[in-house]
Amino acid sequence: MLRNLLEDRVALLCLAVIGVTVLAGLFAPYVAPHDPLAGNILYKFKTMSWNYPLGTDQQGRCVLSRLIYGIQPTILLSLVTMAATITLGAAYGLVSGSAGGLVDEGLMRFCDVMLSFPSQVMILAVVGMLGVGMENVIIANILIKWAFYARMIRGSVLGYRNRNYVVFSRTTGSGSWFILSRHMLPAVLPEIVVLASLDTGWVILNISTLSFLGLGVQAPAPEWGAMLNEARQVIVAHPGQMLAPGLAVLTLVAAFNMLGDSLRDALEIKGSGR
Amino acid sequence: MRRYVLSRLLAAVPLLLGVSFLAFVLVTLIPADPAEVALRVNEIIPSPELIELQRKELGLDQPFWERYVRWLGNSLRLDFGHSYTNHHRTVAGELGRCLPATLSLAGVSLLFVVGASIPLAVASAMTRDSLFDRLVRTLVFFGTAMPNYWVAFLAIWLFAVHFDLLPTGGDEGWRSYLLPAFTLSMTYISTYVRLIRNTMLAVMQEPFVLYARARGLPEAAVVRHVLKNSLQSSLTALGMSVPQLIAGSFVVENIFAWPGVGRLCVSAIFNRDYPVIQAYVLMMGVLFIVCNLLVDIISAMIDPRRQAEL
Amino acid sequence: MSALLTVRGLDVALKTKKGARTLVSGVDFTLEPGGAMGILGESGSGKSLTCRAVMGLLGEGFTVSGRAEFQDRELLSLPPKAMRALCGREIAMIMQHPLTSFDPLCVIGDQMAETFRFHLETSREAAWEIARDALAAMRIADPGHILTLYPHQLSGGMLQRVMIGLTLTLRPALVIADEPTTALDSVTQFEIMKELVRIRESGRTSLIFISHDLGAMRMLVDTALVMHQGRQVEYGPAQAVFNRPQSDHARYLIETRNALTSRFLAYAGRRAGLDRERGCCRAAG
Repeated sequence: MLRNLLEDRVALLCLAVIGVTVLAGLFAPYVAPHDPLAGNILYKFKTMSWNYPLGTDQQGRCVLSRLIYGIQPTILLSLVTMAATITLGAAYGLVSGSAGGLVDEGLMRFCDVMLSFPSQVMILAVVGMLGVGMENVIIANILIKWAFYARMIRGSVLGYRNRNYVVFSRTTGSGSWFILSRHMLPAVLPEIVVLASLDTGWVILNISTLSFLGLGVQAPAPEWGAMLNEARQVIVAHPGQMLAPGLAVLTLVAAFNMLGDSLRDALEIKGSGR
Repeated sequence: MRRYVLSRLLAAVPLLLGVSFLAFVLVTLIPADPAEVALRVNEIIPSPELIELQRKELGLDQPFWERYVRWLGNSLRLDFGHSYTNHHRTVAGELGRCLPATLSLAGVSLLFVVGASIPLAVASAMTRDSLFDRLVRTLVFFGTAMPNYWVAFLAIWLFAVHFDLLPTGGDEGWRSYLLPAFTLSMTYISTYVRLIRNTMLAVMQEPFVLYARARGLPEAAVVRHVLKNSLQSSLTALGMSVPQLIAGSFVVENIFAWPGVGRLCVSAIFNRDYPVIQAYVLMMGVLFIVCNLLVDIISAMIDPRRQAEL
Repeated sequence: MSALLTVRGLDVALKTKKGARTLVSGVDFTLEPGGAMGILGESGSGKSLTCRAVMGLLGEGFTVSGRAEFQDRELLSLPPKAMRALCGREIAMIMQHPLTSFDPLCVIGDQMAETFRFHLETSREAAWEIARDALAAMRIADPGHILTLYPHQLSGGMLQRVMIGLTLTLRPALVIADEPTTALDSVTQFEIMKELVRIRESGRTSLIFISHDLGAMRMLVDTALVMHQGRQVEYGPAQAVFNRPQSDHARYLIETRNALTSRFLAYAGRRAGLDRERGCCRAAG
């Protein structure tokens, strides 16, 4: 199954794009040619040059540097969000599925309520109440998705609990933690990986959308959505400003989505997920 | 039939209660004292006495459950209180003023979604792996990966700025619907083209399709059977796009200065106008549950396999 | 008398990313008018694929080569439209899974009627009338009511009889029955076998009977073809194939079956003997 993936050129390309971007984001101060915040009013709206590979924006700031510094709030925070979502969902699902009975029933009804809230409304609700800012956007994103993972993992726990090898393992006296970590988690892991890859793309879109609306990362800080918000003000005179950040979002989301699709094919998971 | 509808209605009640409770609890999450915020947004310097007075006025001095029950009762009568920023306006009035614009935009977008995704998906599935199919699949892929606010920009620049064909924003007759509705529907068109196409390909593998061909039915009749079955199972998803279009319009409304509830809510967030946000959240939650209910009932009604349980 | 269907060197291949994969190769047989041929083989041996290739029912991913001559027409080079008109009318098929062979969202009557409307070019009402007669001919009680039901409201055996009724009404020259009894319980299997024997004895229609059930096959066929992993391993008169199989694989299939039967008979006999000793007589199923 891993070999399938390695033979898949598309998947490799996506992994490479994501890997390079993440590395560039981590080492932004060493990679970026300029300070993302330092503007030079004399160098406004410059086109591509050796000094400014992607030109400059309306305050004379280097677009490439801003893009590179913008990786951290976009991708890295999305990855953190997904990690937190899956951990929370997995814990909740495992508890619910293993407990059974009334506890399970109650926990799952709560999940139903969470899932019946549309994602867009949940974001507006959380950001609206907790206030504008990146932390709250992340909290909102976790709140949207965790119930989904919780339910999926609970389903798998229930489904696998009665599989022969698990029953056998129990009769031989393995502890429940051993059974969970050795039998159940490996069984649900492929599905989680595929969904997580697809959802990461979704979270990136979400974070950039909210920053664009001014609800996430705030204006002077470099973030792709926020950059697009600034580009919006000069759309009539300098429409080229919106190309670089937009294409950056598009490329990354596409890479995550394509990776998710390739993983699904490689791991042979049926169904279309979302 | 009646029993099925009744049982579905009953099942929706705890869900509605849960959603209302969540919308109510949200306000208690506010890091600041709502009474203080209510004063500050009107540029009144809060003094302890004033805050105390405001707390009484907002009913914040009462115990939690009493407040919830009273709030729920008021909400049932569509009384969501007054806006913090503008005391002369009720929240219900504000939502009522903005709702028609959002609904009409969502309606036009739904027409776009249905009108574009079904023909594209059918044509794409029928000509599987042809040039056309590959083109549609590429478009669909980018449709789901592109940020829709960015698409909105490209569209504004191309049609409103460059060619000067359409207005950049506001609600000024049918021409101002085109760009926002296109932007709003783009993601959903991509999702449903993919869904319906995959469903059709799966249905084409069913034995009844092979048997229809083996009976010698002309291809048009075979396609009719495939379509009927694919659309039947895609209907639930299509039905759920209605509340999603309504709730998801806030980005598009902000870009195109569309006078709808989404824009109202975002500006309420900036103004910390909590009653408006709360009412918006409650309204959307209820809308989702109601739509879900309707879609369930309708799809049960038109599926002969499920008529036994009705 | 010339042959009804002559198949020579039939190959079926599936186009995949890694080139074409051959699924069926070198199938040769001749079916006389009024004859009955059995195709025997385990699942995946290419039995159904062979028949679908002859009827032009394989999807675009498949390539079919060889010759298949039916009533002096070359089927494999026939334009799709002409081939489709032949399907159902001249060459009909009875499917393996009756429960999933009908559109679940259409009533039985509509699905039967649309077939008749197309082949017989009649009105909707006339087509329903023909459908009612078709069910009555199958000795199905209350055919008018059955026509208004959805597939999920009928049993597998009933749907299989509907399918046979539909098939026979158009009086095809050849009926291909693709494991028609596999999905049914044993009592219904017996009923359906009786219907197939009736088709066979009418003498008008030739039959290709696909199965891995040797007992059923003995009842019906006069020629037999044995397939194994996409290849034809044995072909000849049924008696010869069943009693003196030449190829290793055919011998294996038939001996396994015979061993099973004799063991079953031995067991059943002993059981019967025991029962008699105890003085209670049980009817054997």
